[in-house]
Amino acid sequence: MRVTIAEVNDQMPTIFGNNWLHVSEFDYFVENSTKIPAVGRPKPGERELVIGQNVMEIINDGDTIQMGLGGIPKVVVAGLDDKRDLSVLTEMFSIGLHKLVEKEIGTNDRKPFHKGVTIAAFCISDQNVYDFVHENPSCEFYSASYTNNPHFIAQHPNMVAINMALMVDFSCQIASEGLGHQQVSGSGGQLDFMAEAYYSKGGKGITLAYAARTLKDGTLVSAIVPDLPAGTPITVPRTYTK
Amino acid sequence: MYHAILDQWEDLRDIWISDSVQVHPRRLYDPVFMANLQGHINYAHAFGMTLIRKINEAKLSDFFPVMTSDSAEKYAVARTLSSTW
Repeated sequence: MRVTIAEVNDQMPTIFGNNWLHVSEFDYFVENSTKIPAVGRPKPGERELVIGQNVMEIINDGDTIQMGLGGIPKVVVAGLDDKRDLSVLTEMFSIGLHKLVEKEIGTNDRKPFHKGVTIAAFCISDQNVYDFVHENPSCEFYSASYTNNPHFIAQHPNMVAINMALMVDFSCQIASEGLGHQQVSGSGGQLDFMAEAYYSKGGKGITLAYAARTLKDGTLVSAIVPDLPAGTPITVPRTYTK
Repeated sequence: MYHAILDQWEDLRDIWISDSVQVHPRRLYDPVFMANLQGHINYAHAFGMTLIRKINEAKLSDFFPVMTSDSAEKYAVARTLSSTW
């Protein structure tokens, strides 16, 4: 027997897109009025700013961008002020993304689908963003099977995917889920967007990584290595990174 | 609702709780607490944020290898088949 229960929170932003469910699809409802968790990011440091500056030079007017988790994507968003007519097709509606629309930089005019509308699968951000997406027809949320659909992504010319990695080897294999046998995350949408930026006409897959990190014992370890540690899961294979 | 389910753990067996993005601190992400619930309630994730750091450090992560685009198809179905549904 299958039982479907919905938790109903009146503080959840009301959003557009294909994400509404009819009451008949549920067996029970639980009302729980609670504040939506807001996440923040520490103030970007020098490393983030330098990496972000390099990324901004690669993004061109009219590109469609996707940004993954991490501090550097936030810096990139904040630095796009001199760009024009950007579009957004992304999995996560991240911190600061709404400012692109408010500044009329993210017009969403040049992409082939959903013109004028920012497309995302989910939103984890701060209260400013939650307020922005609430009852805002310029933002639409869809199932990740739609936003991250490889065939859909690849039909966007000049698709720019920006994601972070933990380590990259000399053959360009990208590891973002863990190192060695210590896994810290799953694949998420990184391969979806990186692979399809490869197939997008004029597309670019941008991988961000700190060049080195300091272990607890003080050892400095490079993030660009001849070989990944044994057991490291490959998030993006080298066939999509050349 | 997670809290309500966890509170009933003694009455439940072979339950899987799955998520992708963790936003609330929960007992679900505490490997010490969850160790007592083995065989009753299991937790698995498709993606990981900082809230599951303790699980990662304990090397108890159980990430299902799936891309977000087909997570609904593969992840949910696989977990469903592995349960007693």
